[in-house]
This record gives sequence, C-alpha cells and structure tokens, in this order.
Amino acid sequence: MRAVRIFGKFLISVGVGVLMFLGWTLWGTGLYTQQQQDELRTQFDQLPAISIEGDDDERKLGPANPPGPSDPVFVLKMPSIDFDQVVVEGVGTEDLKKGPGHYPSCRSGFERPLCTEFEEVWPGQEGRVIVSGHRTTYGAPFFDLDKLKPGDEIITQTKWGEFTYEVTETRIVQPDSLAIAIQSDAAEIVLTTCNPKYSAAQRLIVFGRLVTT
Amino acid sequence: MKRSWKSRLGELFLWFLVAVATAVVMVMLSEELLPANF
Repeated sequence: MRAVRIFGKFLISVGVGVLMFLGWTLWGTGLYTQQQQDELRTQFDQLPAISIEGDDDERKLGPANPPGPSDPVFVLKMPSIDFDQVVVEGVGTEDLKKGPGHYPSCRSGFERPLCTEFEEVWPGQEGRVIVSGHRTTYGAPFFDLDKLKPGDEIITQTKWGEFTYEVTETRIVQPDSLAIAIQSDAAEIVLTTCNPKYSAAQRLIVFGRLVTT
Repeated sequence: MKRSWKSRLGELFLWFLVAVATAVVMVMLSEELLPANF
C-alpha cells in the first residue's frame, strides 16, 4: 500500500514537471526572446548606415563586413500580421532563440546544413533572402505566418536601405523538401517556419518578390 | 503515528525536485529532438 502511495505521488510530481515544461516552452522562452530582441534593436540602431550612392551597377547591397552568428542584420516588418522584429544572422538553435534568422553562406561560424553553399543574398539583391523563425516557442515570431495573403507587404529595413517585397505564394511542404534551397535569379524573400502550429510535421514557406527599393 | 511538519515539508520539497528534474529533462530533450524553428 505504501508503494502505491509513493508511486502516486511520483506520478503527480512528474505531471507537475510536464506542466512546468509546457509553461516554459510556450511562455517562458518568449520572455528570453523579448529580452534579446530589445538588446538586438539597440545594437541594430547603433550600426552605421551604409551608403549606396552611385550607379546601380556600383551599388553594394549588404553589410560592410560579414556578420557573425546571432548579430542583428536587418529589421523585418509585416504590417498585415502586426510583425516587427530584428533578424539575426544564422539559423542555428541559439540564433533562432533570439529572433528570426537569416540563412547564411558557409563561412567561419556557420556549418552545414545550417548554411548555404550559394553566395549569401541580402535584402535588395537578386536571389533569395531566406529567413527562418519559430512558430511555437521563443516568442513564436512566425505564429501568424499562415495569415499572409498574396499582395501583403514584407518590409526589410537594412543599413543600406529599405526594401519592400510582396507576398506571391504560400506553400506547405515536407520537412526534407528542398523547395527553398533552390536559388533564384529574381529578387525574392522566402520565410520558413514549422507547420501546423504546435507541430513540426511540415514546413510553411512564404514567397515574396521585391517590388520597391 | 503523526508526522512532524518538518518531515512533511521535506517530502514536499523532494517531490518538487522530482518535478523540476522532469521539466529540465523534457526541455533538454525538446531542444535535441525538435527542429530549430519549432
């Protein structure tokens, strides 16, 4: 009888532990991300502006020096879903805890498969700017990504200018899909996250094309 | 036999530690098993 009582108490304790885990996962992680976003916003505001004056051919769109892991790189805004966050460099676990991550090229600090062999693409450039973000944990920045409709604006504010993209298409793919890995000649932005909400069974991908620079 | 309040409090603390340990293990497992953008 005593063993049954102890086992019952053990199960109750484990249940409380599971509730603690859920509380941390769904809300606690968001507090960490909010604190990191506040710091990143300050760091981003302090970065010097990059001049892109001159002929279009001479335009240098991109940061002056390759940013390191988790450095703030640009601000992403989606007015239709009330989204405004600082994007960090890198899509590793630690990077995405701080905010949406920009897919980097494979260089010092970034290892495959969390980087691309292609040349890194920055907002305003031809090619695909790829941004990944959490859907459920760490503030769930891309929680409402499924609400974006064709024509909605995706605005990137960088230190070399502001670039507006327009949503063209939304796709749901399997986790091993290579849909975003293919580079493009067009100036596009690709946002990716887990799908459906509270699950990692699929990936949601939103495509946008550059409309104004 | 009636237990003292210290004994009951000690037991409660022990079960609280079990709950915290469960939560910590689940957080560690979730970070290992879930994709980075979950």
